[in-house]
Amino acid sequence: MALLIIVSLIIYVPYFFQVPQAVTNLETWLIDSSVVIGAFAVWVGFITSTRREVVRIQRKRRGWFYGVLILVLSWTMVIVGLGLGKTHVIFEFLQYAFVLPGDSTIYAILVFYLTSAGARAFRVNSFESGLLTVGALFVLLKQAPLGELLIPWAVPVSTYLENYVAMAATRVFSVSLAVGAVVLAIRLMMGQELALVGLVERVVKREE
Amino acid sequence: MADIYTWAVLILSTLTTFGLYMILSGVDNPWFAFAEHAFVGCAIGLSVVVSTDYIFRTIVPRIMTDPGKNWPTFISIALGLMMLLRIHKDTVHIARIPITIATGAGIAVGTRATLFSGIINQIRATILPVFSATDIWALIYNLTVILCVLLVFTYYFYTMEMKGPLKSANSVGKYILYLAFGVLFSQTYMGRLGLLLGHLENYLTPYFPDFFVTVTIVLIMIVSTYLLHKRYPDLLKKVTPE
Amino acid sequence: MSVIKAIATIDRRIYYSAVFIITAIMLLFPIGLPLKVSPEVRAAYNMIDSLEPGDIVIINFCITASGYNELKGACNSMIAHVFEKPGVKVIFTATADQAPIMLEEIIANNGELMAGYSDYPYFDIRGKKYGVDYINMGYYPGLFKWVAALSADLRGSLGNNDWYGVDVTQFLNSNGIMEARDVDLVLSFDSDDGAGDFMRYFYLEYGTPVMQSMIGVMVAGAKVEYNAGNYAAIVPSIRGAAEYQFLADYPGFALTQMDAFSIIQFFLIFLMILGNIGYYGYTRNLKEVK
Repeated sequence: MALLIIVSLIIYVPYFFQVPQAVTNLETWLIDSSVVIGAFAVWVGFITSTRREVVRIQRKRRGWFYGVLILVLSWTMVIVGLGLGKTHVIFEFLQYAFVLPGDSTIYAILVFYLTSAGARAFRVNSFESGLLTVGALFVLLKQAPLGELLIPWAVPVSTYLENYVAMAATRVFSVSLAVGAVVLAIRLMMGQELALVGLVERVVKREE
Repeated sequence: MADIYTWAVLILSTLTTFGLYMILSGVDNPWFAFAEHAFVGCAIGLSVVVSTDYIFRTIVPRIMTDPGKNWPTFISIALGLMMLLRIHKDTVHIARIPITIATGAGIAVGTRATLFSGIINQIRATILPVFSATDIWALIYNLTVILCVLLVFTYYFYTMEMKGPLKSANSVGKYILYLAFGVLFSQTYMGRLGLLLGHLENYLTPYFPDFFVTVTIVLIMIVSTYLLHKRYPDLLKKVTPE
Repeated sequence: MSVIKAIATIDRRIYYSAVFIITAIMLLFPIGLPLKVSPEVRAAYNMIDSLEPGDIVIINFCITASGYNELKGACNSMIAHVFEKPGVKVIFTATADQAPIMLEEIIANNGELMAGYSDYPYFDIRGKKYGVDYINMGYYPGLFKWVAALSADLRGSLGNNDWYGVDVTQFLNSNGIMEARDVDLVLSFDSDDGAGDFMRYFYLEYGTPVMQSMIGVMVAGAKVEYNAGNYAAIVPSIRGAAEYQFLADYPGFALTQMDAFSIIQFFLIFLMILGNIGYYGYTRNLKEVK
């Protein structure tokens, strides 16, 4: 915990006060080191996932051959990427064939769920749900060029809702998030939230 | 060779894309399992490669050019290597040192600037002219922002009893939030829809080979999933993970 | 009554299929609808248009594949616009691990291979040559931590080698890029908060203007920062990208997708109305009977 406080103070103090160059250099070094540590931490995740899939394959759990697929593809990418270079044709092939389409699709699927939510969840059965629906309707009309063409009066109303009303509400979220982050930092330095960041083991007491 | 490469990328990327879309069918199917596991495997490999490449591209040359001047970088690398000891339970306590440094640095770096951008600048932007507004519209907009911010803040008072004017402010704040969530839903929908459109355009145009391959693969997936569910449920159970 | 019941109990897979079919039809057969440009996008256009010879621009990609298709239109048109400004020097960076390959695609879309070269990074974009007018430094892990390090020690954090291992010291020295305050503009394409990091460590410390083009989910937060003066300009999601392409006279993906975009948004409005008809005509009565 002492280390946590020292590191935090070395990074906070030069930001707010004039300090000797040595302290500024130490601050820069600490930030650089945290980036390097993060780069190595990815290997921890990689080794852990390899271990998990090997166990799954050894125990022949249902669908174990998909574990073989994960292992083959991940290790191929690592060996080719580090050994032959990240511009190698096999590395780029795997990125174009699996990573890019996969990542795009995962979030694009949300459109379908949002569309069915529009039919199911936007029911005007109270004043609050009416406001929700009205807000959504006006902005949908403004965003679509066809909406601007057919219902031009919706545009200034929607602009007002987006740029002033919703912006003000989102500002409250931003300020709350910022205050929460500062409080978390203070609690970490006071040793209250060490379990949250994995510095100590969380012990759950079960009542007998 | 280029043609084989292009066809292979097209077929596999279409398989991955529409394999993941098969989750919308609401039933277990091996296409989704294949696409999901292939994506996860490659994404893990990619993260490892680009992170390690950063070390070899930026950090190692820094040491090689001037080891005397850049001696602290050796300590950074040592800390990074200590991080790897987290994988074994007997050495996990050693890994707490780099975790502490990374956590402390991350939290400090993240919050020190947030004090200005997230709190001070936001409050300053809310203090807007009311009596000296230039025209009626500026007055309306400024009043809207000030009142909305204040009223929505009252909705987040959890430790006080809501009574009197505070209760009314709390209710109005709640209504403003509902309006705002409707707006946020639409903005989210716009974003995801844009993603879907850009994504599907890659698989629908041009007619040959993209559209042709897409239609063929989608038909195969739908027919095979249907047959597995209706005719071969035991085989379906074997080819889908738990 | 059975029609209302059918409306109230439509299988959600019919909604999914309808969205797929409408999307496919509109992408294959676009109509060509007019577009109005918002003040934010116009400010973004003017910001890039006012770049002068000798200005240093950092173009940061904080996009994963999940945001790329949404921001592709903005990337192509805004980057082309920057490269059309004479004398402007560009440093490409990436703070998302998937971003470099998308960055390469954008470079290839907007440029052509330089004479005597057959592969990345040697592309000529609108007359600007690699290594002379722009460089691609690739991916740096650490997100805000790396941006903070970049702000404190620009040359140390960038390193001397680009994404392909080519020494770029000559480019950095000859253009006077020594520290963070030498940067004149930061343009970030975000599906994570890359611009926010640059805003906190470049704008708040050195006054460097920061522009952001972001995915739809981040639009509300971006408008808060833009309204507070933290961002110089924003280009929100695909709609902003289409408006930018319209302003810059750059026929691209976002502009051609606006038709499909409009129709599906209207389809959602139709479904909202349908859902309410089904609810008031059937589901609500069912609950009352129970």
